[in-house]
Amino acid sequence: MTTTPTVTAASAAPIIEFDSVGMRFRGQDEPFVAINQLSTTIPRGQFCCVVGPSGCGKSTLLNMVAGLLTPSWGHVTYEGSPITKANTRVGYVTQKDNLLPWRSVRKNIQLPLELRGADREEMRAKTDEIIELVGLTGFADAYPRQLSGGMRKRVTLARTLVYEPEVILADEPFGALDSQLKTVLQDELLHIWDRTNATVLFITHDLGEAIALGDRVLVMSKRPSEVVLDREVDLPRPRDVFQVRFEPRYAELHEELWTALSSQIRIEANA
Amino acid sequence: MTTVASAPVEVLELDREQAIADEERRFRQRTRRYRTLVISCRIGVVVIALAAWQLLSGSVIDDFWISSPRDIAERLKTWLTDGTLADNTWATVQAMIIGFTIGSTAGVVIGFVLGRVKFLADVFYPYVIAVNSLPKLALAPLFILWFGIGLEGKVVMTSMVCFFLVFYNTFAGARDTDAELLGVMAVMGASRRARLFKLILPSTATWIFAGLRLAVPYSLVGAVVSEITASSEGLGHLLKTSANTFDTAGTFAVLAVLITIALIINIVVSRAESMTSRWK
Repeated sequence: MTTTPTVTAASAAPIIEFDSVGMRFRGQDEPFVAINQLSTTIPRGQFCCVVGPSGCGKSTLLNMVAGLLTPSWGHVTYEGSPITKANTRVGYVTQKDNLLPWRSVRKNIQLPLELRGADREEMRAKTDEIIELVGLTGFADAYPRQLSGGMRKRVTLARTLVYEPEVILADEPFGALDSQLKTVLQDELLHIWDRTNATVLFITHDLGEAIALGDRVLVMSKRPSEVVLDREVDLPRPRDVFQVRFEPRYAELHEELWTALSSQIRIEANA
Repeated sequence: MTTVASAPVEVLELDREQAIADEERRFRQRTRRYRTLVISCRIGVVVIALAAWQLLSGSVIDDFWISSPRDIAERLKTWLTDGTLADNTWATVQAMIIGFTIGSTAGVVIGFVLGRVKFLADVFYPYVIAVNSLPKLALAPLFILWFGIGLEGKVVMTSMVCFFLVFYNTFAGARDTDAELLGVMAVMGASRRARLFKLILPSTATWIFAGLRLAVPYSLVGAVVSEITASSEGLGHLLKTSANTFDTAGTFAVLAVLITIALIINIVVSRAESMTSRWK
C-alpha cells in the first residue's frame, strides 16, 4: 500500500543485502577507498542495473556477491547469511567472454554441470536445450576461436544459464559489442529472463541499456562511491528493447538519471 | 506464360552455378601451380648450390678447405656400411632423448609449482635467473669433470639446456591463468582440484608445448656441444676428430647428418603440435 516512488524492499524479502559496505584496495602506488558506505537491498526476482563512472567499484559489488572479495568493512548477506566463500548459487557473466578455448561450444556450456556432478544424460539434455535457446544451434562442436564476438557472448550467457542460478551477476556483458548486436542480445536476455525467476544484478556504463532492461537503476558516485540515486524504472513489461527508447517515459527517466550520472562524471573529469 | 517467364531464370541460375564452379577450379589450379613452383625452386636452389660447390672445389678453391659433395657422399656411404654412422648417431640421439626427458620433466614440474605458489617463486626465482644467465654451454667442462665423458655427462648437459627452456614457459603459463576465469569457475562450483585439472593445467599446456618445441632442437645442441668438449663417441665426437685430423669431407659429412636430424625433429614436433592443439 505504500506509495513511495522508488522500489522498496518491503514487497519481497531481499535476496542480497549490502549493509554499510566499504572496500579499500591496495593500489600500485597507495591504498584507496573504492566504496565508502554502501547500503542497499536487492529483492528476489528484480532486474537491478548499476551505472556509475568508471573505477567506482561496480565490479567490486559483483565480486562481493560472488564471494570472491570480502568487504573491508560492513556486511554483504545472501538470503540473510554472510557470504564467506565462492557463492555457487549465483552465475557470473563477465565483460570478457572468458571461455575455455580448448573446449568446444557444447563442452564450454556443460562445464558448470560437469562441476556440479550432473549425469551424462541430464548434461546432454540441458545443454541441447540451452544451445537452442540462445540461438547456437549448429555451432555445438565449434571452438570459441571460430565464433564471432556476439556468438561467444551467447556461449558465455548459455554457460551461466545452463545451471539455472537464482541470481545472475552481469558485469558489462554487452560492453564490447556494436550497438545493433547489443540490442539483439538485450532483447534475447529479456526474453530468457522472463522465463526464469532469476534476480539480476547488471552492471553497465550504458544508461540507455540500464533503463531498457532494468526494474531499477542505481547510480553510483565517483570514488569513494555511494549510491547517489536509486530509481525505479516504471516502464511496462514485457518491453520491446527496439522500441522502448522512443517512449516519452524513457526520455524522462533518461534525463533524470543522466543528470545524476553526469554530475559524477563531471566531478571526476575535473578532479 | 509461366514457362516463358521461368526459362530465362533457370538459364541464369545455371550460368551462375557454372561460373562458381569455374572460379573454384581456377582457384584450385592456381594454388596447385604456385605450390609446385615453390617446391621446384626449393629443389633447384639445393641442386645449384651443390653443383657450384662440386665445380668450384679443386678448381677455384682448394678442396682441402671445402671438400666436395662427391667426397662427402662417398664418406657417408663408407660410414653407413662400416657402422660408424649408426653407432655415433645413436650415441648422440640417446643422450638427446634421455636429457630431453629428464630436463623437460623437471622444467614442467618445477616451473608449474613455482608458477602457482607465490611464496616459493619469491624465494627461488632469483636463483633460477642467476643460473640461467650463465651461458649453460660453459658448464660442459664441469659436467664432464663430474660425470665423465660417457653418456652421463652428455645427459646432464642436455637436461640442463632443456630444463630452462621448459621451466620459463611453464612458469609463465602457470602464472598466466586468467584470474577472473578462476573466480567464475569457483562460482560455477569448481573445487580447487577441478580448477587445477579443468583450467590451470590445460591453459598451461599450451605454454608447456611451446617450451618443449624449443627444447627439442636445443637438446641436439646440448648433446653435440658436450661431445665436442670431450667424449668417446657421438656425432660431436666424430665432428671434432674429423676436423682435428684436417678431414673436411668427414666434417661436412657429420654436418649433413646433423642437418638431417634437425629437420626430422622439426617435422615430428610440428606434427605432434598440430595433433594436440586442434582448437587453435
